Amino acid sequence: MRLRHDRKTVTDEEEEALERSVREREGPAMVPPPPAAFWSRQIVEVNRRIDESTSGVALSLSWAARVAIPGVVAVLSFLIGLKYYAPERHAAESLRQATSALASATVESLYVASVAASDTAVINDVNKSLLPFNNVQAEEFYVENAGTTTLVEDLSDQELHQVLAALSSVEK
Amino acid sequence: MEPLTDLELIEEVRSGKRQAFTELMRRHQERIYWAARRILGDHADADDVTQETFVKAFLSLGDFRGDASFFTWIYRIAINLSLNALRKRHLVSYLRESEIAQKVFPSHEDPHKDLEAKEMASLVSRAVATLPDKQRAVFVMRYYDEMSYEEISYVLKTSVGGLKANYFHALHKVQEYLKNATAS
Repeated sequence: MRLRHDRKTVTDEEEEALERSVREREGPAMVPPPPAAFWSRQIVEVNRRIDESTSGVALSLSWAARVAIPGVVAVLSFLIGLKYYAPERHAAESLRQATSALASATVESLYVASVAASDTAVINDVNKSLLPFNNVQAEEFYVENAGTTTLVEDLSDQELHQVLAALSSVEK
Repeated sequence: MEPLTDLELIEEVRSGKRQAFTELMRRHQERIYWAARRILGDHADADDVTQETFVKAFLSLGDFRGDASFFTWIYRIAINLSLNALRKRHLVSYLRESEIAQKVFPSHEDPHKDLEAKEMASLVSRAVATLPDKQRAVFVMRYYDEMSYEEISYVLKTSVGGLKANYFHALHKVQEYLKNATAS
């Protein structure tokens, strides 16, 4: 049995000998050639096909297929992607607009109430986007500048209770 | 006055002179036609492939960078179109056979073979028609067009070693065919 790697490489001489043998057996070629006029008719036909391909309609179809349709698809994909994959940005914008419309005292009271309720995840997010200081700084600000009397006027009993609990824990 | 080279003609075509492309066609159409006809074994199909080759060449002339000669470049287009035509023909032939088998009619004549039979005027042409598609293309390029293996490699995107083996096998098959044909 001969394995694949046992096969010897064909030499140029072997190839030439085999080719010569085929040519000797071939005999005269008898495939009928086309008539002489065929060649000029073929040139005319090729020119006609080129004219067709480069005409306005063909070009605009080709332009539509190669440029316009992929372009429209790309723009649509981008717009759809923008709508579905960046919703947080719009939410943050709306939240920012809504909170900026509120009175500063209300925002501050909400902030302190949230701290008291230990809703740290939410408060951290709000803090990052709305307030330029952290939780501890906010609490210190109220203790030092506002005191408990300012807050009493703006908050409900329940909120006040939560705020006082938070402030007293900071004071300790 | 010396005739313009292919590259000079291409430059003229690029600058808008269509007549220069006609000159390029005149120079190369016969060789392209015969390569296609030897692979396809049919005048009408070869005519179609030749026309398509030149239309494609004109439309994509901007892609021609000159890393091979213009003839080799269009020859490559023609061989690829011929191989595609052969594939389509095999598919049509297969579908027809399936259709016939489904209808349980005995097939006395294969239309495709009948078509080719008109071309089988020489023994070698008949032998070439029995080769697998790629071997057929390699045989035509090497045996009839006497192209170098490097040129064939550019056309078919195959290694020179693989092409040599393909051609040798093709020669063997053709020789066997001729021996059997002359003996009977």
